[in-house]
Amino acid sequence: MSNRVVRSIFRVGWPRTRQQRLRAMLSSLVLHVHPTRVRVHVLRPSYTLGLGLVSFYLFLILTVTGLALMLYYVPHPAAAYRSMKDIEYAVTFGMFLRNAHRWAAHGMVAVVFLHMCRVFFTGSYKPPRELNWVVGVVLLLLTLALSFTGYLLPWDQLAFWAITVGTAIVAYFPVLGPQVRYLLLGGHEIGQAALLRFYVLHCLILPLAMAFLVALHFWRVRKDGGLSAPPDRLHRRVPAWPHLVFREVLVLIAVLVLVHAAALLFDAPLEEIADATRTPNPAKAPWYFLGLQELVGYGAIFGGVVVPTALVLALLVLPYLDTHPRGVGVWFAPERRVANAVFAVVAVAVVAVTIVGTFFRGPNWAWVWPW
Amino acid sequence: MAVALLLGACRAPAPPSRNALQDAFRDDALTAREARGHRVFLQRCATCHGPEGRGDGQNAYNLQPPPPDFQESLARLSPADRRKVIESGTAALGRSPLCPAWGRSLGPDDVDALLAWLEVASRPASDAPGADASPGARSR
Amino acid sequence: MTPGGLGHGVSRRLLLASAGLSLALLATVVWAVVKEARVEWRVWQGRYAALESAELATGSAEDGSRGLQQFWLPDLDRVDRCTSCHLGIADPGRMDAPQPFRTHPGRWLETHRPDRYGCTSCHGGQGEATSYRGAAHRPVPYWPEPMASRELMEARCGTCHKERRPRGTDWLARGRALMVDRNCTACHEVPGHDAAEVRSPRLDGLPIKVGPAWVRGWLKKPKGYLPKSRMGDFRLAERDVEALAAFVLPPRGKLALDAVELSKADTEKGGEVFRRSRCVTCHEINGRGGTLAPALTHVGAKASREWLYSWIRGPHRFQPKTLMPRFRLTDEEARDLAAYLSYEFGDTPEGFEGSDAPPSPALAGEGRSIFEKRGCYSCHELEGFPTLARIAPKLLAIGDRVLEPAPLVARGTLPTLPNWLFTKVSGPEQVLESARMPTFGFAEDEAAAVTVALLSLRARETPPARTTRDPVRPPYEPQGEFGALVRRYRCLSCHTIGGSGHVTSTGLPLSTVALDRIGSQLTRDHLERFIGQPYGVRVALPERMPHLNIAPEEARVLAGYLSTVMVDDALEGAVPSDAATVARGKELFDRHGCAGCHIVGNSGGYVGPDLNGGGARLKPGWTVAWLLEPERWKRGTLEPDRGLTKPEAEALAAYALSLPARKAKAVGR
Repeated sequence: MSNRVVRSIFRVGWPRTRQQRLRAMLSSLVLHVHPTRVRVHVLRPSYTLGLGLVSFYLFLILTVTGLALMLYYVPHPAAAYRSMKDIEYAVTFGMFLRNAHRWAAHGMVAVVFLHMCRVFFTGSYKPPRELNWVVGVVLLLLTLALSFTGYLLPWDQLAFWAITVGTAIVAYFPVLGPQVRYLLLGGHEIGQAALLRFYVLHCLILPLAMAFLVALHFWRVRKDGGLSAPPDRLHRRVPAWPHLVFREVLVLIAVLVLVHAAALLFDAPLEEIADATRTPNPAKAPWYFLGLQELVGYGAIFGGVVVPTALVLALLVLPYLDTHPRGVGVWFAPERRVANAVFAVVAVAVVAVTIVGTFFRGPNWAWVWPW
Repeated sequence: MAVALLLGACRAPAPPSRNALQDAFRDDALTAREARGHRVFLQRCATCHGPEGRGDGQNAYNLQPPPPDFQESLARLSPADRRKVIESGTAALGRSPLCPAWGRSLGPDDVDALLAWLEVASRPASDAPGADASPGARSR
Repeated sequence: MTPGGLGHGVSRRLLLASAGLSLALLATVVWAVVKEARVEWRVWQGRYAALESAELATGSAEDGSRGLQQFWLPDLDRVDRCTSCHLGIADPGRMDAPQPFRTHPGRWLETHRPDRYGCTSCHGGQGEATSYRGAAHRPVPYWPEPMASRELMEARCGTCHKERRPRGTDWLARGRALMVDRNCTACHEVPGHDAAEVRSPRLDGLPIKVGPAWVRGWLKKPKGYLPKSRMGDFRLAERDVEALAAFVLPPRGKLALDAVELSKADTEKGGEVFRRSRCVTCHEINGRGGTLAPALTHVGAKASREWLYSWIRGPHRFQPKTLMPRFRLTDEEARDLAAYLSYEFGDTPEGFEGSDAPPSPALAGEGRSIFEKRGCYSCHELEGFPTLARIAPKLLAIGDRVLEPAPLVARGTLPTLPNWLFTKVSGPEQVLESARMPTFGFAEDEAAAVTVALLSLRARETPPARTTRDPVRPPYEPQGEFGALVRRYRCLSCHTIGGSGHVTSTGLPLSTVALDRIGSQLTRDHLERFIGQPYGVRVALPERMPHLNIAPEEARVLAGYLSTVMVDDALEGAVPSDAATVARGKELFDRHGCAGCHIVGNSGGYVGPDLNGGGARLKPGWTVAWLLEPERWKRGTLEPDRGLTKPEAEALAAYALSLPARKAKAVGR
């Protein structure tokens, strides 16, 4: 009897024969995103570093912890801060949930960035993978947007002024900037309307968009012929079960361990309640926008509009400009020296200005030495 | 990443620490409760007992028996008895009625404050003062 | 799950990695669970349960976790979870328990029930927290309201208790009184302090009173002339001093001095008048005496004899709001007194020996603008200027102000708001070099008291249902003949009636004898005698009523009015005067040791009034009421409340009132 129940759920039992292994991939909703066989080349951790997978897992962790937090958090300025205190002090595992959510979020921004670098350096954006690269860029922007919208929700001084700075930079955009800012904030000030909009964006609109695009991203990986590999490694394959699935489970465990450890060791910050009349000096954007804020320091339009727009546009059109199929599937292929060098310089520059904005800027955005 | 961590680990120099207002409130040797007790004592008791409870108040010379020197006499009186004297007068211990009952006149924490200060007053001045008899009251 | 089951290619290395990672995951999960189970408040509740079960000696292994405890006070917008750890706070049996389980000290919880007030209303700290550190027992970053020390808690009392002198507060009451005394409301708008408290001299009469040398010295440093000056040091530059002098010194108005023949003045007689009138009750000399009025130590160097004579004869012409009475002195007596003051107290103080040359009139315009900019007219009335110069920031929410930490950090002081306010009040130039606020020269404890009073002014309004205030009473302005006498002799400079009357910088009137019901307290004859010839009723007190030389008819009017109008029907009544009651009263008198403080016959203490002849002085109904509830009639009195019953009080009163007078004159020195 129980055998029948089990069989009705798991059509293909625990795979033992080769045929079962192949069919297992096709018979499960979760597993059928995998191909039945994968290239050996892509299984090596040194090739992909598992970064895309880690991003996805972080997204899942964020969703789960986020849902739990939604049971306690109240998105109204008069109640938000206190609900954060309740989560921190009164809810069982509250602080753990909050920490996990915050560190996973910061981690996801960093990992998504690194994943993009990996894809570039292995030339995995070239045809037929152009659309997937574009989807990926959009996913990067969505990640930043999710992190940014979530940043406001604690409604403390850190949140309030970070979003003040961020939305001010948005307003620098010619013509549309102020309108977009007004739309985001539901007004001219950051208040009840802004908090509610950010909450809906953060918990509903953006996660749905992200889920859809992630699904598209995975689907396109399959349709584009799997993860990229150099021409001489295209054909050696092994069954996805167990080789791919096992490694994926390992990565999941590793991500969980790291997120748990971070959540247990480091507490997410919570400053005083937001006070529109008291500006901290300096008021800093979230860390991933500090590079932007540093550039704005050199020139509002230049730093806040021209450079980021140019970078995003460059990323979006990249696969349509560089279509030569050489150097795909290997890190730092010598044929792609120039392209790699340019990207590396830009990536390092982005990291550098972010570091400068984080550690080397003090009150009035003056230069300080952090020691 | 390593650079970022290193930079994050650097700290500013030690912050200033003198608490000017707290120093103005009271003498270092007394807790808040003891200081308050002393004020209550000066207001109500010092006329007979003297400002430090040495039995040298300006009315002391009119009293028979005169008020004692607390540095000698208080050690023989348990805290419960001291409270009894404050609240019900020395007559409650079977002694002279000259020290009246203050229990009905004193405020909610005046008696506790007085008791705290009397503990201080019972020790000769050379002893290290301010052993924290009052629970958690010392705050700087 | 055997390696074989997974098929080929799952290497040993990978399996080892998977084992290691799985263990790590298990470890972090267990770690998270343990951390939560050992969270601080649960630990304390476990210890409390252990304490309880140890007492019960049943050893019942109850779980002991009562769950999170909290008080939610929506109208105060507070959530206080303190009792999650402070489990014995309302349990009277826990006085000796270790912290955090100890009972709350004193009787505070009777009047401030935690379910109505929470804990943080009074103590500060972060009520939402459930850990020692989070609750801000010590200051923590990002929680602006650390738990207050006992003294700073008085500031928190003041957020609900808006009275001038809330009970049980030392620093707050003193601070509020000082703020009135120094007239902070002249420049700062202070909630709860109206503007009617100005008591600085008008400057219309200044030109006929003082000379340029004195003005220069005074403006440079008021405390050089009056050590207890209420006027602060405005830190004026040399040129500003000169300009201001040029502005205030030119003659103005119609005031003129009386003519007097000074050559006939007798300084010795003047000294007698001085001592007889007891001027030192209000005016100190060389640091001894009262502080109600300016010290006279150097008055001879300040004002001319003609001025002193004119002033003594009629102070109210020159300063309508002065506290000084118009003594009943003959012109000769006034002349002698003026000469005595000028001769005896004529030493020029340090800093006032400068040139007496008049300042250049060209500077008068500059002086006028300084006069306006520094807001002098806000304290010192002057014709042609508005009454208030609110040139300084409102103090509405000063207790929540954000401070600039740099000046404090530079002095090595912890940059908290209380320290900032304390430093500013002690010396405004320490916080901002260009500050306009004068340096008041507060003693350390005075500045601390003012700081506490300031900290009670918060941004968040306490709901009206939670605040207490002084009853609003219209000012008492007596009329008719009585009113004229009260105004001439300035009774309300020392006494209060109906809450009206001058209050000193301690927050109390100079005399502890309120006149509201004096007609029910003292006999009419005694009142009349006393008003005509005051003496020291309580020998131990330094203050006694000055001898105003009130004429007999005037004393009659005053005593008559007081005895007729200033009565309290509840205090009327008689006591039996039969021998048995008197004997009982004597027995009570001895039993309670009243002679320790009161003189009966030829012996007794010097604390309370001499009771000999009490029947001629005191009224019976009042005596009984006083004996029954002394603290009610005079807060802080030295008369103890012995918990007497009414019959006992009546017997004691009967005894006291039966005592014969001592011979002839009243005791007085």
